[in-house]
Amino acid sequence: MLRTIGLRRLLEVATTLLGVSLLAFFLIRVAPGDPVLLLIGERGSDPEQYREMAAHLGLEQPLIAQYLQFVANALQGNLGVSVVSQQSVIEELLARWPATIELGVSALLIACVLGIPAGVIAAVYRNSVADFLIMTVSIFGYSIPVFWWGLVLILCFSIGLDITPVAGRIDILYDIAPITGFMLVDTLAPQVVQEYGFSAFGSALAHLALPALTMATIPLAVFARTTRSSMLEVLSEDYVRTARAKGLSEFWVIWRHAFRNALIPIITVGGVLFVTTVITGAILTETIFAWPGVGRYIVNSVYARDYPVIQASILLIGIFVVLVNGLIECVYRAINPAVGRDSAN
Amino acid sequence: MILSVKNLCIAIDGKPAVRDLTFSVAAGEVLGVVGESGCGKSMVNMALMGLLPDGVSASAERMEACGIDLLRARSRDWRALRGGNMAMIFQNPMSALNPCLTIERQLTESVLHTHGGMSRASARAEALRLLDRVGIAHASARLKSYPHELSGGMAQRIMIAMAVASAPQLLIADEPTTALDVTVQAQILQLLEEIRQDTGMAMMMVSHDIGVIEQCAHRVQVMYSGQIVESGNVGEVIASPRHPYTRGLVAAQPGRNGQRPKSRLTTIDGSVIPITEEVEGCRFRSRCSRTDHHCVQPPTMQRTEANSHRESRCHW
Repeated sequence: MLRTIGLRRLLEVATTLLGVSLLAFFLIRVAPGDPVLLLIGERGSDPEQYREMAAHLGLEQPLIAQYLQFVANALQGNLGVSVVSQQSVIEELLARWPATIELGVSALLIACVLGIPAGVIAAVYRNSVADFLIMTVSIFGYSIPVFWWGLVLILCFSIGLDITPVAGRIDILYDIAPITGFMLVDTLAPQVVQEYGFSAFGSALAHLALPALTMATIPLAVFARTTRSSMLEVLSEDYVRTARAKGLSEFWVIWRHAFRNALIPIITVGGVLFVTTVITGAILTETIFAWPGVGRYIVNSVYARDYPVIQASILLIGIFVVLVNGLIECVYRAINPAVGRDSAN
Repeated sequence: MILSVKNLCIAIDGKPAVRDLTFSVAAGEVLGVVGESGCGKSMVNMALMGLLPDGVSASAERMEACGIDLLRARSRDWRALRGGNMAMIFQNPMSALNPCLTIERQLTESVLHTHGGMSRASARAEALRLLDRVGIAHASARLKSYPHELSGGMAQRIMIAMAVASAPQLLIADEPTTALDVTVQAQILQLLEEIRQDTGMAMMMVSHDIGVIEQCAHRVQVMYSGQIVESGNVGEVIASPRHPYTRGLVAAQPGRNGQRPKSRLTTIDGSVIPITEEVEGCRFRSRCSRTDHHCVQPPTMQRTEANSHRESRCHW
């Protein structure tokens, strides 16, 4: 039974990725703008030179042939070469991926640590002043436009209070060799600590603070609201009454019996948020804070109509989404063993 | 008396629902409470356990259990009482167990609540003993199970094990067999009776099935729409019910006294009035076949025979 589930999942993944590759390939070609013109300049271009450039980029072939070539290459792990930089796309993306993940994970951590307890408090003391305050703040958090919020934070903390830097991942004073690519980890490497002490780590943390906070705002609000509604539902369940009837303290009843069961929808939302925060959040936030991650790279590539980079990025994001979903399903089963049984039926 | 209640009233959002309930349970006694769904039986249980939901409030002249004044109990007293001298089992054992925790976690939790400083290992041993006590085979394997891996009967046995972990003086059983097959139902009732005889605990057995009450209770009180309408020795009440509602309940039992079930079952005409509705006079009046001018006056509980403890809320 497990094997058939595995096989079914694998087929699902394959179809998903096929769809993603189709979208990635054709959408960008349907969009207006011509990479050849952008490269050789629009005005006064020589038709001969244009043809030469197009042939060099492989754009003179029929679309279908181009697509098949793309898929064949992708299956061999070759996602092509950036039109702009002439570097391997995969290397360019892999170099930027850790920065994006570091930012996204930090943002999501902030959102979880603040949002989930806030939601639990709102549910346990429902219709109280605390509940009202938490829900009001979360509505604001959810409605704030990210680009505006990022700028407000910069105005307050960087320009007004002068406690955080405005852009980048670390001060240029520090020369940090990428080991994992995660700045918070790399600045704690023995040789870095030997050279700079913990000031490099501090600098990395200060650089991370504002973009992470900017990115955390929407997920924080969503976590608080989801947790609240999920907890409210669970708190009226029979087994919560049983736990109370056993004489357990309210603390145990809430955290051991109710919260664990309330986690399933929270994790579902968390997974979706992780994907949307890391990807869409990254595009805005990384642009505002000049964060050298995948989001900003995609934006710049779209401006340059850098087809190979755009295709590859979308494909990688697709794979990332599939991986996150698989992970979430594993977590479900770990939390509630009845889940695995239900989905197998 | 293990439990003594005088004039218990319960209100839902300020509207009276349960009206002036007076009853008591002696040590080792089984009091049966019978009545239709929505007559307030479960709300009484919840009030006794201090577990009334938000918006539902209880007041009484006296409410004492195991020597503790429940009207003055603080949340600490309630917690000590619930996991100690009072315990409760519920109607639907499958949903009353936490789906995310193993039986071991849920059972040792009850054990540890009773015996504060017990080690994990001895709590586990105690849990095994309890499972064995409630007749669960392969107890050590069962400890690792999750609730969805159990049958309803097994889940109810585990609920009982959890409830008797603290050797309570009073067990409140809220429709413990309603969700179970008839064969399992008999086993569970038998198990409860065995445990009661072993430990001498008192029981309040709540059911809408007068047959269940007849099997296991010593005394019965019949509830209708938030009031007690008849009470007395179980055998006597069922053999010669006084209140028209009790008569209806007894007559509605198919195949009573070994008779062949009739082809058509007897029913009580009409339907239950909402528990919070105010009624002039007797609350059963609208469904009663024997109404007269007395019935517009609110009836009181009256002794039916000079030298018995039977009471009925009807002038007939």
